[in-house]
Amino acid sequence: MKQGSTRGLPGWRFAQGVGALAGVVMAIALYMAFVYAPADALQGDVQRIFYLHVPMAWVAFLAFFVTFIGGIGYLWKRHRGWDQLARASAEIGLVFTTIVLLSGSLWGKPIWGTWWTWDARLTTTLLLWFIYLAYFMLRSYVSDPERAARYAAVLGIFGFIDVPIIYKSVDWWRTLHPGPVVSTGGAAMPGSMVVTLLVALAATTLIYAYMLYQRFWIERTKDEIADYHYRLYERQLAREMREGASV
Amino acid sequence: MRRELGRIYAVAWKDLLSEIRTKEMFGGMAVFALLTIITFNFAFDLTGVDRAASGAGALWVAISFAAMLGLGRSIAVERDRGSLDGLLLCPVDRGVLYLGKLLSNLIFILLVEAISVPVFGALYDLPIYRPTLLLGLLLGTIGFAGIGTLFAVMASTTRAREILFPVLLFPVAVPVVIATVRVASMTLSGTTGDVGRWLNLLVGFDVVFLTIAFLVFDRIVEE
Amino acid sequence: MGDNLIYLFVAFLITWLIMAAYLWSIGRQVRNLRDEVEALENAELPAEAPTATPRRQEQVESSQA
Repeated sequence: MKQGSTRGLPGWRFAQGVGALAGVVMAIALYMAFVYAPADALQGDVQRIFYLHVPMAWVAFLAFFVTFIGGIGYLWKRHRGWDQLARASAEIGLVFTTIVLLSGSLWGKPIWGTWWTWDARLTTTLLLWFIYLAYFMLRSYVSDPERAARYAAVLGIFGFIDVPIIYKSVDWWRTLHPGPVVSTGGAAMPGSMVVTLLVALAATTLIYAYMLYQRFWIERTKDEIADYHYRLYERQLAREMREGASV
Repeated sequence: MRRELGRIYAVAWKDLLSEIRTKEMFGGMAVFALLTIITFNFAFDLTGVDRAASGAGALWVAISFAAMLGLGRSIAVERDRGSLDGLLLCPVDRGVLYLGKLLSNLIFILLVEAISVPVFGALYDLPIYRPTLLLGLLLGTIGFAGIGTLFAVMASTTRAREILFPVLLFPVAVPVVIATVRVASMTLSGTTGDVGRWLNLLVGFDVVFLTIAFLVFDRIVEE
Repeated sequence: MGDNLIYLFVAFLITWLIMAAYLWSIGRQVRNLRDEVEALENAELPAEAPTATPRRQEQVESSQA
């Protein structure tokens, strides 16, 4: 069990450093988002939600990509570490996607005049949320952890590959049913806004890295503790059988 | 190659024969599809002028729900009777088993469509015998049954499989639903402008997901 | 523009509440697991002491394989 302790995991201290750095960069990003970046000419201050919403969306997508890679790795190499990585990343992705949906809604209400629109990006995000919710339902409904890992890997692969197809289909569907105009005027964005966005993206990515490391450690340790209990149980069983045989 | 085709056919034939003898699936699926179509008439007024647009949706919802019932059932029955273990012991590639199960599921769903689509056309006075509509329906059914067969096998070993199966299937199958309904409503309302793009999307979906399902099926059924 | 600020405020508030709650839950899980690991490490030695005769240990080893 020695390796189950946080001390034994290489880079635990490094991860704490990443966490501290994430906090500092996030503080800078918040300062830039509220003070450094100018208020948007058309949308006013509400546009500042953008510095929170867009990096979250990108990093959520990155998290699901990591889950996809973890799924492929697990099905291919059958090493449990890949699955631990996949499930750790999927959970963070789900949390971030929830934030993306909520903050997007809060931006949509004042700008579009509606909480929700069936735009390609929004709909794809909502479906992603449902797919990864199903990912965790699947895991919790399968009692054998090894089988749960295989099934989840398959769903992680299907879900991720489906994203561009969902996006394309909703996009074409929307062009036939025109809705509110979805444009944040990316081309005309001033340099200070771009810089602020990039700093916010760096901060969010660092937070993701920090969370992923901790979640990965949690999953790994849980598995090791379960293994330990299983070995103990096996040993107990073997002892009882021996005692039964000697009587 | 020919031998593999024979094996796929053998797996599918086993299912068809079992259905012919027990008659427990097809009747239920077909009646369910018809009832759904009729229920939609009460939920939305499908006799108005825009029935071409909303009718297509009602038709696909009825078919996909019936398909979902059938897919879940066909795998659950295999699990419960233990015949899936028997199939897995056969000295054939696991991908072949997947294609065989897919073929038999596809045949059941297409038979349900062969009944419900003409009834739908007659009830709502819609010209459903259009090649693009039928092609869209066929491609959509292949995609839906393709991922449905795989997910049904996954769901069948779990607790609460009846609940889990649609939760897995529907979000992933959204592109199929959108494309199939668009093809059908465009054909029915006579605007055949961009049907080709939707058919391409369906073909792409089918090819991508059937290939992945074929490749990973081996990993799903191993015990 | 003034009344729109409430949306900005609520968006940041919700985001940081969720992030804080998630970070807190991760931290709690890490603490709990660390405690559990330590408890197991301490309990490990006495629990296995009675079976530690060489012959039996060997049997246990082979039964694990």
